[in-house]
Amino acid sequence: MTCGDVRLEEYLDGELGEPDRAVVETHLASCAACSAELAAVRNLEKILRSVPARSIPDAERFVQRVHAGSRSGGRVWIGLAAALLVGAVALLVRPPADRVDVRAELASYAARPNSAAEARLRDAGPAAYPVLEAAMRGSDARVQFAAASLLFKLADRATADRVLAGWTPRPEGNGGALLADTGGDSTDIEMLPVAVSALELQGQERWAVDVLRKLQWLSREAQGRVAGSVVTLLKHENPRIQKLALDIADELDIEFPLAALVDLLDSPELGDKALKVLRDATGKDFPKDKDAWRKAVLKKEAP
Amino acid sequence: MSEGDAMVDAELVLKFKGGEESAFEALVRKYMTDAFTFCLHLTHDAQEAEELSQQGFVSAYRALRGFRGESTFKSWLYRIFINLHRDQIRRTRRSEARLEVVREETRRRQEAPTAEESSMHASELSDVVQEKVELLPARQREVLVLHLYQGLDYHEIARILGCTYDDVKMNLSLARKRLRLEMKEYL
Ligand SMILES: [Zn+2]
Repeated sequence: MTCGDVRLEEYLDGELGEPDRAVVETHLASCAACSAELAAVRNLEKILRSVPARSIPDAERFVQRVHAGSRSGGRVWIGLAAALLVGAVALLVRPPADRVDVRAELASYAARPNSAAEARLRDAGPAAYPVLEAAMRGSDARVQFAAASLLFKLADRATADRVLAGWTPRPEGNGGALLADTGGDSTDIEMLPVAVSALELQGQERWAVDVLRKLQWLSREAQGRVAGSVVTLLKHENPRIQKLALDIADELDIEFPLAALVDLLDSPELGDKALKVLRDATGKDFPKDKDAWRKAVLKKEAP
Repeated sequence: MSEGDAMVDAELVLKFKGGEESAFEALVRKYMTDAFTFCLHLTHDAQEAEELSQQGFVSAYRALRGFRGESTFKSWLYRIFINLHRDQIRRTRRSEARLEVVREETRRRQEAPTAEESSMHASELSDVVQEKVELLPARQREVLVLHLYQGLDYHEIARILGCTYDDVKMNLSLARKRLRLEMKEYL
């Protein structure tokens, strides 16, 4: 065995199981170079770890701030006593659920997403869902997306899944609608088709990219679906969408089939960016040569 | 992290989804110190770290309904911090500006007389460590910080970063090589 084959760092990090450990130890016993290398890495780690650890300045304030931030997003999590108090006050000041004007609140939210409208719609409960569902099929893109976003936030999972299964957003309805914040904090994988459609709306790209980026946290399944969308978008007939997909591919931190990027290498506008994304994703440093990259990518993606 | 620990987390997540809001507070209290330390290593600024970690918990609160338990809660949470941190860097473009400051600082140090370097205090050494770690490419820095300061194994890091075991191994190794080169006068 040559020194290059010794799994020194995995050994140091405790990653090796028994037969592999013994192999490294046997080699170390007879190789001064590898022993010195191991000592050098250990020494580096010691220095790096010498940076003093710090604890949170004020734990209670920390919890309070998280609490406040969560509340401003709509739902509230609070201690029992505070919950009872807020509940009592809410009973005094909020209109009964059956008096919530769902259409008016939706219109207000569509014009500008706001937590007051969201809270009143939440109070309305399931009675609001059919109205939101109908609005999702309306002609105004702004209202469509606001309704969809609210439904994700408010409805139970089963309802949201059912409604979304049968929904195709119609972004052509009223292009340029102001969707900037609508559903911006939604992290439901079912937002994926919404975000992909929104990419095609001029002015909504930022929002869509943000949603896609958030969706990748959810699960492996979500990552797979986001990756699939990106690959499809890379082949989009509209170069503007291709460019956006490339930006997303660059920003997203997930594994996706790289072959679609290789195809873009000879594009005059997108070739450079595609090359950069390929280099970042693979750690390889080939020039802009489709054949070389195709080989490298195929090798990496072979099962 | 032990398996039992992950099970406790999974139970808290279930309780939260079932409407028990206090379960989320329990998760915040359990992870806030780890989260803060982690964010501190990402940002190197106590105030930014506090804001980032708070914001991460707020995002987690909002996203927890969609969390399906395919990774541990802790992996999922760390992924949120990492993504938020990247968002921040992109949004403010502070990274370039900072990088410039750090480069400037490095140049200044390199030109300074060696006597000054040899009398370097411990606190200055830790400044150097922080600067050098900050200059690493994002993926290398994330892997290193998760390994070094959170004590996570390769598989756990791979889950958090959504990459493979070999990616973790490679990036950690690259980070070490680069730091050994950049910090050779302190080693
Ligand atoms: Zn050797």
